[in-house]
Amino acid sequence: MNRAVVIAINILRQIKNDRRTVGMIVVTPILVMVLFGYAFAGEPHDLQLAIANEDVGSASFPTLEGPVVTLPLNLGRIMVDSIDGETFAKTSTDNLESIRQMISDGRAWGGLHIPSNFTQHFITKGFQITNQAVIMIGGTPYHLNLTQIRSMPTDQAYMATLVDNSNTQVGSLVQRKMQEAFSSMMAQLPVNLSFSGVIQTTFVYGTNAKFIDFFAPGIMSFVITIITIMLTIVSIVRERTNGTMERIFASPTRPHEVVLGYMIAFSLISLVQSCLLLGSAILLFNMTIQGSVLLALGFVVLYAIGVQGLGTLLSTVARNEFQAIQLVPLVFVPFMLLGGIFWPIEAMPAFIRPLSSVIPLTYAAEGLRSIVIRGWGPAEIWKDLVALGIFAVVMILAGFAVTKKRARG
Amino acid sequence: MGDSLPDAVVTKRLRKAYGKVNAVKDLDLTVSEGEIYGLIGPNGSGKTTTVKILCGLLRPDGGEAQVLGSPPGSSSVRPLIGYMPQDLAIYLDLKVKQNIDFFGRLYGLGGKKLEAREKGLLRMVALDGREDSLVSTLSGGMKHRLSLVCAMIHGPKLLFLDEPTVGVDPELRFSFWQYLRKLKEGGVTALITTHYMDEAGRCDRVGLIREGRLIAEGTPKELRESAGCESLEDAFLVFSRSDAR
Repeated sequence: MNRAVVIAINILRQIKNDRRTVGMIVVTPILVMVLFGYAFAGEPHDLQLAIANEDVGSASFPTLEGPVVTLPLNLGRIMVDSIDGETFAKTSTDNLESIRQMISDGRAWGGLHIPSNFTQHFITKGFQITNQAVIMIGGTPYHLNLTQIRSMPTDQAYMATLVDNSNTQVGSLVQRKMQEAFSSMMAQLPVNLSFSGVIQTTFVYGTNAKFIDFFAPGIMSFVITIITIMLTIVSIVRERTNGTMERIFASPTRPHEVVLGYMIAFSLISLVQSCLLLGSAILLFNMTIQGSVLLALGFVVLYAIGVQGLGTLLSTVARNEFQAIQLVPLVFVPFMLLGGIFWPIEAMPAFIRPLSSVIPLTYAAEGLRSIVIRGWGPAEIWKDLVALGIFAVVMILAGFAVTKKRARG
Repeated sequence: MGDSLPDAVVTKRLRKAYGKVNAVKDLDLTVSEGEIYGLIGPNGSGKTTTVKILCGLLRPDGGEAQVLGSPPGSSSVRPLIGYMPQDLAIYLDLKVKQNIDFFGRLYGLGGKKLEAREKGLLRMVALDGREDSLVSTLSGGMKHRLSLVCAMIHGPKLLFLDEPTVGVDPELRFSFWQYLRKLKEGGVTALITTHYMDEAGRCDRVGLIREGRLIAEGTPKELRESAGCESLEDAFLVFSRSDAR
């Protein structure tokens, strides 16, 4: 049997016989996914939202035919009904001032004020902007008197949204949900008013994406990083301190076979962990994978090979297992903070961003996210594949160099 | 190096330093095939460094060394030597059989051949019946014996045993030397390091090492006679004092 395989089997056997380590390998990914899933992934719900809908509804317009045409609708009510009832607990209030008061008192995260003539003014504004000359009501065409409409008031064509942005995530969510409700309201207009200046958002990717879809690939890469680094460093340092590594080097085993053996063992462990992470994200949180699961797993294994090489490199610094454990945060902290797991790299100050570009986790998380959410294939994630490929090759060569040096004194 | 030598181990003016500390200093050593050679000296005298150089685990800074006619660590020598480091160097999380299997397979053994050797060696060190025991559950003496089995599983011609009896009780040390004698009868050469002087008396020949240099060499009897002492311990002190002057 190939010596690298013999070494890989030996590592896996040791881990199998050590129940605590097996527990760490199996339980940690599930635990992390569950904790992050419940603590972070669920979008906020039942956020208090104060609503003052003063809109009296209906809008009337002069026509060239003579009589005034009336649109029997209440945009204020449509808007309120369009607001997500799961995210918000809607509380009616009287006016803009009372909304402001509720937010100031901490009784509401946000508020929406709709003025009394909103329907009339909003649609008037629409006709003024679009110069729409004909509208159809009940199959009958009406020719609008645009000359008169242009002189009609539109000062109440605006709704006011108030937001408590002390929690920026909640603040952003309130704004986003208001935008969604507005888009829904616009879709329900009986007349075609394409306001220039009103932004209609179309999701190119992640139409129904949840927060877990965004963070799960990052967490997956992160857990693989921590456990692979920790197990590699501790395993190698333990082999060194208890003398087994010397015994291996005294045998006909060559340094590259040791490196390869470790690589095989930890790639398999990473594969198992990736399956557990993906499985728990899918089963517990309904995470949807748009791309190929096999590509996602292969991508993680490629990353794990590089991380294992990094662990081999770092193991040379530690003289004992205690020192080995202390090395883990050295990788853990910069990877976690700069790898773009929890927030976009674009949100970081410009002078820090170059650091993110040298952290392999950045490419692992981004590539995996593209496979999972965007459904991208190898052709689209080639940059991430190349980055991780270079990382893996460099780390394997470095790991081989330090192992060779240690093997031959 | 010159022509291939008939001896199992030969070193000439071997040197190795760690920083400013000379661990091995111009060491001349010869171990003949089939003998049990004891490298005796106090802690820090260079015994382990010498063994590691001969096993190809350390590069010497100077001098020459040959093991079974080839440079230490060369691919032709590695399959022929067995190494038992000072530490137990076995996997505590593995079973007895798994440890032996692992080291056996590193030497290309497998199948029935490996199984047969495994059985024979376990019987020899009285560990038969403990194949499926986790090593962490074994006594200290058993672990030592397992460590020896792991060094011998591939049937080496030359054994390097670095302080194999440290921390082993007298009864087990006695058994250990019995195993070693059996191996010698089978044609195995052994270079054993120790700082137990009573063990030195069991070797065919002994080299007294001090500060990385060989200060005396011969059979135990020759050394005692040469120093004019009753015991090897006294002889070692005599040679040490003489060397210090």
